[in-house]
Amino acid sequence: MSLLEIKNVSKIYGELKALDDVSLSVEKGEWVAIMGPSGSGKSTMMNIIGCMDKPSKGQVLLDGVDISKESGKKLTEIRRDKIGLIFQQFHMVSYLTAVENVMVSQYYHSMPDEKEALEALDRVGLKQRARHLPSQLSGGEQQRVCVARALINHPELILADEPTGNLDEANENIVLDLFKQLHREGTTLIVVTHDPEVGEAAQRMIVLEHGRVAKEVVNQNFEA
Amino acid sequence: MSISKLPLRNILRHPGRTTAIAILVAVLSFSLLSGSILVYSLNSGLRSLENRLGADIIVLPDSARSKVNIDNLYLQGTTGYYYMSTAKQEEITKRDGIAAASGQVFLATLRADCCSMPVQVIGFDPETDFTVQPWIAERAKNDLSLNEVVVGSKVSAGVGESLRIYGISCRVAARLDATGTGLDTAVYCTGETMAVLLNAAREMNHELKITTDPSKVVSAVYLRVDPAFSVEDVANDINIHVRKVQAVKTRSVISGVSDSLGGVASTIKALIIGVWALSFLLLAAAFMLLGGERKREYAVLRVIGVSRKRLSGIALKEALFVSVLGGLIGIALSLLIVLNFHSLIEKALALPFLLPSGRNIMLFAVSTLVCVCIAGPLSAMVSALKLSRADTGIILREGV
Amino acid sequence: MKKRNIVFGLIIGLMCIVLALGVQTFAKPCVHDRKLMTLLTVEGGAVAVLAGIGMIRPGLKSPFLAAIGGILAILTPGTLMKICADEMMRCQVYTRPTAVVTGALIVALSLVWFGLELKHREHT
Repeated sequence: MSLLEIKNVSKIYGELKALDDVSLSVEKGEWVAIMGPSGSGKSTMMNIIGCMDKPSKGQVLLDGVDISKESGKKLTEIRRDKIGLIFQQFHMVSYLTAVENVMVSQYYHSMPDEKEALEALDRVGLKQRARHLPSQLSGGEQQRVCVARALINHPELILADEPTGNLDEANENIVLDLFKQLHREGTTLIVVTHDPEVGEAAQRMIVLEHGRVAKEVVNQNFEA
Repeated sequence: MSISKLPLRNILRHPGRTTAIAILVAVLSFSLLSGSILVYSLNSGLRSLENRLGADIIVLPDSARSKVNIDNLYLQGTTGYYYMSTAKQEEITKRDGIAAASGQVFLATLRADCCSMPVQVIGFDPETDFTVQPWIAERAKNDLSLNEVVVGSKVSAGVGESLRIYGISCRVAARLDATGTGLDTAVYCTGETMAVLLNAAREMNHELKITTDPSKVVSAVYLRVDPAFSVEDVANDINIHVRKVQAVKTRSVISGVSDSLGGVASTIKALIIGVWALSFLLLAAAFMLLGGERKREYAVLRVIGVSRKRLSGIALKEALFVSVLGGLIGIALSLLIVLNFHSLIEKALALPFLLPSGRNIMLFAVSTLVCVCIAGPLSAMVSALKLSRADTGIILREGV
Repeated sequence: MKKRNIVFGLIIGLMCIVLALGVQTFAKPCVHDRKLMTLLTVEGGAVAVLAGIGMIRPGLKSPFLAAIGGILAILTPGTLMKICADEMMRCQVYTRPTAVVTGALIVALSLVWFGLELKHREHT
């Protein structure tokens, strides 16, 4: 069953067609990589799937709900309840500790639970760094906190934008291992990247070029 | 930790930023509270002066003009002594249009030592007086007997204590409430006591030029004008027909004070408005700058699922916290300075100055806090709204 | 030297200068009150030295002692030492208010400094 269905979606900025009649679908529990060079429409796609932007044309069904027609308030709710977002720049709240950054996400979703937040940090191997501020954590550690934050509310979809773009190889492997683990647990993952290694870790790769789907590749060597 | 305390966490983790904004808010509350107390004190000083003067006309001997500034007599408590004979008082009293008349005798004490200022002793006639007794009656239960005095609020002698004036020991029967004028440094007694003091002063070689019997002199005659006559006409009539005296309309003394008070009060009000306009703009600019710096943080909160409304709420709550902090600092500083330096302010302004009561000061302080608690978040409103409407996706992708 | 200690040390030092020099100049008490003048100047000087020490060697002692110095400055004119009773005399118009205002500011700043030092100590 499809978790996400994109039907003939276009996004037009003035003269520029950032997305041009794109259609694709992502099944529940699937790990998909969206790839392509700069300007191919990856980020526009990420914004539309992440409920941060609306398409100019077409339909986007997330878990059966047409998010292209929803109001800003409703989109905020959908983002909070169904999607876990991970960014290239980490984006932590600078004045909150690691565990507080995770709990802040819990707070706006349901109820903050420190024990659960510490477990989430433990899962990404950072329990001992829970009381550190972002400025006291390395880039890799900050990204792992962001993964823990994205996971804490058990979202149906994890949407990651260049999640390893700012990481060294060791941290990149840690993050990819975490994604593998999430995939085994049945979480749906959409990873936007231009890094072939990250793309090849996914079950399926969708390559965008000039706002259109150029090709789709199913990874034959995918290890679940 | 409770995440509902998110705004507080932000404030505490950025002490520099918080201090800078709190100082601006403190300037707002300091200027508002100090200005309000000053304007209020000046107005109540004027009101108390009006209440105390009681008479329509004061007639002084011509010699008074060379000794004191008549307009200033009741404001600064300029100690003066000048005399005319009681015959002159009778002559004045006989003029047309006078409903009541009473003489007063003035005597200035010498500076006893370095630590006491000379005081003005005012002797009134209990039989005819209508200006002093009404407010002495508020404080003293019985009539004053020989060698008993009533003191102004700034004379350092308590009720029941003795005050030595030219070697005569006078019992303090009562202390008057403050008026914020020169009347606060005066000592009041009956004409009988005054005669004793005048004799003692003359014996101590005080430069008193009284050739006649001390019980037969007056320094000023206070007149109440018959409502059927105009004060102006009666004063002119005295000035024309009674030689070597000067009739001064108290209204003109008050309106002179009122004019200068109006000038000072409008300067203070203009200053308050100026300070507020400038501080408000600076605050708004500060919140704007901060907003730019915090765009990313707000975008993260948006992504986590915080609604626009809630995000504006967080920003406004932060502004409110800082406003309360700055407001309280400004209020504390204002009370510390104004209440401690009120005598200096009074001296510098040279106008009647009567501080509000403790209850009123509290009211002013609370109102000031309410004002800054509205102004602070209001100045943050624009930046909060702008931030909550910013394009989350773009901000986060650009990593601004 | 920590930024915080420099800021607090300098502001308290400034208050001390206002107190110590003030009572010798614009806030001079009535002519013969040399004792009061000297005592307030000594108090101001002592707190200034404490603020200086607090800047170089941070700790709880300097802010605590500075706060006590501030309290002494508030209490000196009127409570610890007699001043003119007449409200319009120099002691009442200039000296006492100057001592009370600068003393109160020294106490407030020293206590905040003390609190921050204490918090810092708990964290480390």
